[in-house]
Amino acid sequence: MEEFVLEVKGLSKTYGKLKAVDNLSFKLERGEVYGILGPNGSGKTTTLAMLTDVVLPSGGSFLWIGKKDGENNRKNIGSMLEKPNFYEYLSAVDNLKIVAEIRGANYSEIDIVLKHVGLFERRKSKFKTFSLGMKQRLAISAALLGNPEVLILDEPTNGLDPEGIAEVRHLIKDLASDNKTIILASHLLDEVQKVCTKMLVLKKGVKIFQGNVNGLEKDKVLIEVMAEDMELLKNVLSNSSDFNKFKQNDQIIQIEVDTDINKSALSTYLFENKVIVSHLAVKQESLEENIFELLKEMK
Amino acid sequence: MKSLLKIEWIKVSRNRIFWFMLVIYVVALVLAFLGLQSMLENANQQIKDSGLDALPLLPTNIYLFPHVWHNLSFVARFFKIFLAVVMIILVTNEYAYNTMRQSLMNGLSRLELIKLKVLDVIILSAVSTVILLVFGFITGVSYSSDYSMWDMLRKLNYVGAYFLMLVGFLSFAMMLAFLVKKPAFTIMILLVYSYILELIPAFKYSDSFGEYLPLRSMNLLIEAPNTPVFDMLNISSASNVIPTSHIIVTLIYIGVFWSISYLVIRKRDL
Repeated sequence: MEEFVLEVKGLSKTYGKLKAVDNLSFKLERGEVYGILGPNGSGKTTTLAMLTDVVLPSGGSFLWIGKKDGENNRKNIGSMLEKPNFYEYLSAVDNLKIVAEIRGANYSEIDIVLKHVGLFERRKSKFKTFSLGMKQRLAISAALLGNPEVLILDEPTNGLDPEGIAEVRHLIKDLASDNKTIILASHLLDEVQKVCTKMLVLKKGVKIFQGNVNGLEKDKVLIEVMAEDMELLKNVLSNSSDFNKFKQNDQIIQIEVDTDINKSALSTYLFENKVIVSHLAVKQESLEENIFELLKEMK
Repeated sequence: MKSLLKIEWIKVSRNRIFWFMLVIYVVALVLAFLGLQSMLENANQQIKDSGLDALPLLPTNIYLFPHVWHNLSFVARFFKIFLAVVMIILVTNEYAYNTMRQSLMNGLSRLELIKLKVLDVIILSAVSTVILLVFGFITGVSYSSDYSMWDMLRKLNYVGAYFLMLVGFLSFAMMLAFLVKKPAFTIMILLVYSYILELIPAFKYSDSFGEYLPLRSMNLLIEAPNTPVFDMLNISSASNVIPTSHIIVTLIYIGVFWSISYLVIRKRDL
């Protein structure tokens, strides 16, 4: 089993002068739940549309690892983009039969996926009679047909009531424990934090962050320190419990601390240990600054 | 291929508008077939009443083998616009429901998206051709008194030409629908093109390329049956042969319409 499921290299999409997605590169690990986070218009859907071949990239490339033929890739990816797309006049079952035919899935799976999303009782109702939440759930059930390895879900809780949102999130976690790779686009940080293990943040088509969701929850601050005697400084820091995560860049030492520990605590500690400090400044990593800025905008 | 057929069948079999249009088409076609004879008899009566004895009477034995095939094909030619509208709806539905995009995401290739609709073109043409065959056979057998097997089959090539003409015309409608996306707009363009735009150059340049324009070329596969009346009125657009050149040109057009449809879909974000 390959470690990575998808490799994206310099993917771009321009609409006239607008760069919807700008030189995007990333790799996705198998079995993780990825959240693609960004405000509306940040290029989430465009990116996913390119990965599912419905939108043709203006530049760059991507590769679903382990597969070569583009067509078979999509049969192994369950996708839902923007909104549920079905034939209005067909029942849930008939709509899923079409999907099953395309994906080469057995009709017997249809009842199973319908039960999975709680639509089995309404399987003979026409799609146009469904509420938005039911349409959304039908789209998820369609994505599950053929038991694909990868699921692409674009704003899957859009338009659902709180109960529905909880159900869908629960469903996604269920699927994740099934060792599927899930890519979930959302404009809600809260949703990504609740459901995803990794995240990728987009702003105006540019990737500004990729990493673990957990890492982000605890805010980290970097403090830069310089001292007359760098060796002493390093020794003192190594012996402390709060400041022992540091690295040296030239003549500057960067210490990673939790936000609840402030600058004065550090200077007091260094002073007590007789370190003469020549420079001390709080600095957040620019990537994170960006995210926080972005997250503020999104609220 | 079997899977593609199943997909189209699920979509079409439960589509009420499709059946409604198809029933109207079939009823109109059968009524025209049935009414043709009384229409001709009526015309003859008027000729007699007018006292112009010089005018020859129209042939009313239209259901006789082998001419029934040519006669019915010619009549059916005028009803193909109904089928084109059905075809346009089948294609534009996919845009309206965004299902072309979804089918692509689910795993169909862009070529298969076109194949699905080409299947519709062929099936619709085949259905219409079968109606023609059945009706021609029934009336032929019941009206002709003395006929050989050869008489029965002799002009069956007109039915083949009819099928080809339908495939050509519906492929044209399909291509327009893929290009334009909106049903009302597509139907309008089809009507304006077939009844106005193409007719002008088709007649103005009828000696050169005029008769090889797409729709004109297809229609010339089945010209009006050549009868004494047409001879007398010096109407040149009547003929009892199917021109090979138009068969070839129609086949080429069909290839072009399918290719353009594919190129449009291949280059387009769905």
